[in-house]
Amino acid sequence: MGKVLMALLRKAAVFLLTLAVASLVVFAFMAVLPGDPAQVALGVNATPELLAQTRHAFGIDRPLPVQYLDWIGGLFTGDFGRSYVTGDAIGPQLVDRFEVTLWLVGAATVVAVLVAVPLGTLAAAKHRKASGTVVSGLSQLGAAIPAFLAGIVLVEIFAVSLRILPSGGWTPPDADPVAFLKGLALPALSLGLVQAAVLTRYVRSAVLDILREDYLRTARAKGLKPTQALIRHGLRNAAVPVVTVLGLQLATLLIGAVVVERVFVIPGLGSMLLDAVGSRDLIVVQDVVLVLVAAVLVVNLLVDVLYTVIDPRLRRAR
Amino acid sequence: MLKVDGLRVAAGELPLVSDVSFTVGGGERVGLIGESGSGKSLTASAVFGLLPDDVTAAGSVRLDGVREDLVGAPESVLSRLRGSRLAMVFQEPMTALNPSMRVIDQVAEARLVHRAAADRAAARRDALGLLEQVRLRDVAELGKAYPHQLSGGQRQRVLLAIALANDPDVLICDEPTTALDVTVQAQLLDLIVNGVKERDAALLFITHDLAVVATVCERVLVMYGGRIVESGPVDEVLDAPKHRYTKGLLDASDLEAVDERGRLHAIPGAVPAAGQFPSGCVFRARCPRADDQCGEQPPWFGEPAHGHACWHPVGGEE
Amino acid sequence: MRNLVIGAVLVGLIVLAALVSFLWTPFDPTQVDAALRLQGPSGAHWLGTDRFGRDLVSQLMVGARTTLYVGVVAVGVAAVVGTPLGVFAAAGPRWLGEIVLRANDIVLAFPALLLAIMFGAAFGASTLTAMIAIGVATVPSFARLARATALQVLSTEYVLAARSAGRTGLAISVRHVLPNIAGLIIVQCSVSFGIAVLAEAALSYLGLGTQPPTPSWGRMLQESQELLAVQPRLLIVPGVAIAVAVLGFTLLGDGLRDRLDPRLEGRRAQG
Repeated sequence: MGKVLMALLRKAAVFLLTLAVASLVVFAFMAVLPGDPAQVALGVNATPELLAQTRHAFGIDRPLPVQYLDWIGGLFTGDFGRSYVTGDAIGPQLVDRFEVTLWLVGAATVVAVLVAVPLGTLAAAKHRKASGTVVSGLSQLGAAIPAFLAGIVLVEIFAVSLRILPSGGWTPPDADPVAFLKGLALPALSLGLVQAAVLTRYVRSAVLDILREDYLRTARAKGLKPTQALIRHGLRNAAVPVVTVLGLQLATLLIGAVVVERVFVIPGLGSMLLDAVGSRDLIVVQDVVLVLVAAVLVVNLLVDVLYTVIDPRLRRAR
Repeated sequence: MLKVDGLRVAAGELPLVSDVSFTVGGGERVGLIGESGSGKSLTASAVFGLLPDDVTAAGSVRLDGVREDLVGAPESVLSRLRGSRLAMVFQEPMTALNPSMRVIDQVAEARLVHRAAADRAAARRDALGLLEQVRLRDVAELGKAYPHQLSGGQRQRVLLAIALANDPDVLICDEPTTALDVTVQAQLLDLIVNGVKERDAALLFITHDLAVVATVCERVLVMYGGRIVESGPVDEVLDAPKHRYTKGLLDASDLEAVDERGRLHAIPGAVPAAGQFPSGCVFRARCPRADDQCGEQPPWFGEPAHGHACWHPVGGEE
Repeated sequence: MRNLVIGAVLVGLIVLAALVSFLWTPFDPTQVDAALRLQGPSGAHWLGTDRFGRDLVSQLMVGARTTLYVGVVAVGVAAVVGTPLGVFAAAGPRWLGEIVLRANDIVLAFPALLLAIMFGAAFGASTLTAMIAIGVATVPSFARLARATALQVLSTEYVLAARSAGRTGLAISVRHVLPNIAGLIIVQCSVSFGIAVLAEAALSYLGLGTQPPTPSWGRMLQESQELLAVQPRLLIVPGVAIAVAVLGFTLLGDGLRDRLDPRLEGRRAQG
């Protein structure tokens, strides 16, 4: 047990270190950008005194290391600073938007797993027959389509033609659960189905590997029927590669969400980022990028930890 | 107990096993010997009903008390028999256990699949008993372990415990000790023999090791080229072989005898690839006594359980 | 084998379209003509025109150029930077390997689109920033693959033999490691190309990639998205083009991998 704890602590330390370096990278990047946020905020005709005042208010006249530490320090207390453009505190809006993106990404992952696991298993079990090849081919095709295109098409079918789902917009879950679900459906599907296509290929590959394993033969020798054997013995071992891919894909999913939020006009982190980029609200960009990067790193950490739970062989400290 | 009649195994058009017939009675221990490529493992797999996808079997395999012929029986019938009346232990213990399941659960499963235990707790108790029967120590601790924490010998004992879990009437062992150290082999063989004696079960033991067959079995069948070329009581066959191939095998394993040139005996040539055995007598291409007559398939001389298929057997010129 | 052929054919189509576009396109893809708006397929305009009256076929062909351009540069950068990094990480001292791994993790925390948004915010959106961003984000895949394969090659017996014969690390790397990883690197190039195409499409859709008036398939989608019901053709055309490109490169990569498989001992390529 001590070994496991040590391994976990080590992973946590690496995570924090990577996060710290990433925050430096983000900060440095933003810092070297050409252009003056004060100028951008005030416009061309601002007087030098006003500019200086605004720069001071923004805190950008201080030495860089101080700015960095102040920023990081603020993050720990939940203070994300104030927008250069609107002057509002970024924190609350960030949290709201993050929650929205989280719903979207979570729902998409659920869709992806629910579709990919059975389909991938089917494709593997029937890999020498027509049905297997068809599923395999479809998943290849599905993975080649951009998520936003899937979104556009889905909007057309379900929102415009059939009119059973909204074409965009967002309702928080506590305000109106039904409207929330309806609003979530299409974006989650567009993001999720494309992910499902990618995931299916990995599931198929993992299951194919398992079908060749000796322990499946032992299971059959005990008297388990083929499907039973596969489910009871195979799937748990297929989980490792599948979870890996899910973890890796989550980064893609988060970013795919950015685009999908555009298609469906969803007030998530992605649109917050894009709007900030458009209005050159660099402090917002800085914050949102860091949050996204942190999310990716957290997911990687979780996947890593999940491994040790799923596969006992990996519990030895490496 | 087990009657195999005219068993044929083929990969499409390519014949791999031809015309195999034998019986094993309750309490009998029969060995099946041959080199790699002789078709012995395929025969065992065909009897057990677990052939690879592209391989088919024809002929008859009958088990006492079972109405249907096992060859071509539906999966539901076979699944009920496997692990209960008919059990098998395979060659490679290192990969035959599910790496992410505890040992005790894997043994308990054998009981649960056939509803031999009332519930999981009862199955686990049975499992502990079975592990003790195969003389594993500290079964409580061992049961909680995962396969990767066990040695090869221990794993093979676990697999034997699984095979014997429901007191099968027929136990098939396919080279169970080949992958183990010599010191461990003897113990495992002992366990296998005791296991079948206590249950009065029939044993079909496949191996290429003549010494093992001499220790374990009462009767022996010699296979070459997918056919049975000789059979009889083990002492007789090994002391006074009739078929030229058996003689060649025995000479080759005798490390003290040398031929005219002072070299160890070896059978000239090599085992042909699957399906590429010569017409007529399968051994004719490598036999020192082959002649034109051998171009015709030799019939079986003797009784079904005690005879040979050779035109020019050792010790008699016919 | 089948994958390889289909992939090669699809990629070939795209390349052909791009190459031909240098010499000739039916019309000037940037030429706007209000009178010709939203026309269906006809003898003159084989796939019709868009909302600005621009010819679709010409946009498609020149868009192929953009797609290939971005893919080649991005993947090229990633391969040229990532592969040596990975090999050094494997062949060099342990601390170097650790650093490269950590750096990889950090870059991996910044997905391609995010980098492109950042670069776009910083340096203004353009094809160039898109290419560099995608390229940088793809470096880790190559570095990781190169390192893993190099490690395997370096532990094979004939390399150990070379080492004991006194060959230096650099010589070993060049003579033994590179030829063996070349195949897998090529496979990765093909697969990453597919991913780059999707990234570029998304970026153009967001307006952060190729800027108007240069045609780009992603932007074609964005410009026509409200017209899906009225003129689905306007979305189907670029959509199919993107799918064909991605599918082509992915299948090509898979096909190449299958062919290389038996000839490489102990391969483990990245998806």
